[in-house]
Amino acid sequence: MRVALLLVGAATLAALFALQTMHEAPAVGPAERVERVERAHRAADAARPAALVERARDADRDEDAARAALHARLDAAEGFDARLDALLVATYGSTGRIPEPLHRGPVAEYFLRNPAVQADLQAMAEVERAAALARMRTRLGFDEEQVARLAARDRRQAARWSNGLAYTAARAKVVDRVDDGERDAALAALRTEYFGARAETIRREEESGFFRFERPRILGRN
Amino acid sequence: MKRTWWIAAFLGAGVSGCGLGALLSAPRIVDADNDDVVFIGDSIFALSGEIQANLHVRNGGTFRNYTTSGAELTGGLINPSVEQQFELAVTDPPNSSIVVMDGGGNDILIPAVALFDPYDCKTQWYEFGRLSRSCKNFIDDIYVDAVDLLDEMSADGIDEVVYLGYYYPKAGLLGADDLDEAVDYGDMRLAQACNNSITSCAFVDPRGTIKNRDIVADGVHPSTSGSNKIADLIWPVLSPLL
Repeated sequence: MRVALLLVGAATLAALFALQTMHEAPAVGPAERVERVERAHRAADAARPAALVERARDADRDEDAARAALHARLDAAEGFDARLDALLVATYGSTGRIPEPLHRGPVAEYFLRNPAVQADLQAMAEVERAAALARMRTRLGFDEEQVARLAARDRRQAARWSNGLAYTAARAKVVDRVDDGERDAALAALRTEYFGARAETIRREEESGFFRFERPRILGRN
Repeated sequence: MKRTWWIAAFLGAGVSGCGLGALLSAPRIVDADNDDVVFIGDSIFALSGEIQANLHVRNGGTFRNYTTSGAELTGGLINPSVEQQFELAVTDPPNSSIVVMDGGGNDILIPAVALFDPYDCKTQWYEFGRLSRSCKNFIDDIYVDAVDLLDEMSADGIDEVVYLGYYYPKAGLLGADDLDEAVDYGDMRLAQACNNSITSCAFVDPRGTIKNRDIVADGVHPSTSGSNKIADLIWPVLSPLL
């Protein structure tokens, strides 16, 4: 028994040492690093006592459950302001007051990324939406200048998305209707028409398979 | 609660959003010996100021500095964000043509360590290679913020950008270990922002250079040896531009 424990201990230490030294390794390519670390992790997993693995998985499951419960509370509340109340009370207790300024930006971001909150915002008229966002930011502790600054950012983002979605529709038509030989030139002209000097950024993104206006629009965030 | 106060202090939270963040930062330098270069970014640069100090020695004089502890890339409550630092630098005379910066790290770090890791950006040892989709989506938005900011810089007369990426945090007071995969994905995206931008931008990747012993006890910020190593990475990229 003692020998077995010693062997497990030694193997664990060796695997953990391998993981630790990943940071110490000379610069390697990303693929090589992934392979090395995966190998070390597999060795570490194999060497760890099952109880330790299970405890870590339990902790992770608890975190997932907490996230899901919060998500459900926001879903159950009715309307934009009630959802904000639900989030603040669930996170910070009955006063719903955020204790630390550090949390305010991340809380705003988390709230805005919630699908039910986005549905509320999408259902609002533009003026109503701007007022709701200003109200939320004020409640989270953003001062007047910051609220105005973020509102200006919202307006810039709205214009950017409107342009981007129009471009995406026009692009689809070009891809659909223009022959292969002429397509690249047509797309380049289209990008310049819609994005001006930033056309090259969009081209590079598309080349790598990233289509920024096909991603979810998060009102108040992106 | 105790831990979040540590976090607030180390990340540079401000009571009004602009107090402690600035207090925990190296002094702002508006008019420097060499005004061509301006530094913007977060506490990796700002907390100790040692990276800039090292580079000042090599340069034989100071560069402009707007870096602020706790700054997120575009949003957050810590004033000024990296985007706002750039706007301030452009507004203040004199003009610069070279930006040395970082940004995006706090956007990922703060929710992961100070809240409840809402985007599931932490990956435990048994989850290697399985960074959550929600974290990737979140980081993709940071990528768009970064590339838009870099494109904005080009429109505002910046010719060159040196963008410092992030290294792996270690276990420490901030509880920021378990973020290695998020750092990998984040650096990959920030490097793409650099490459995809219309601004001439060089991405400096510190992951292979900064070891655990180069990081202070909070697990995030560079020690003197870490700052010197980062300066060693930046200088060969920056000096030909001067």
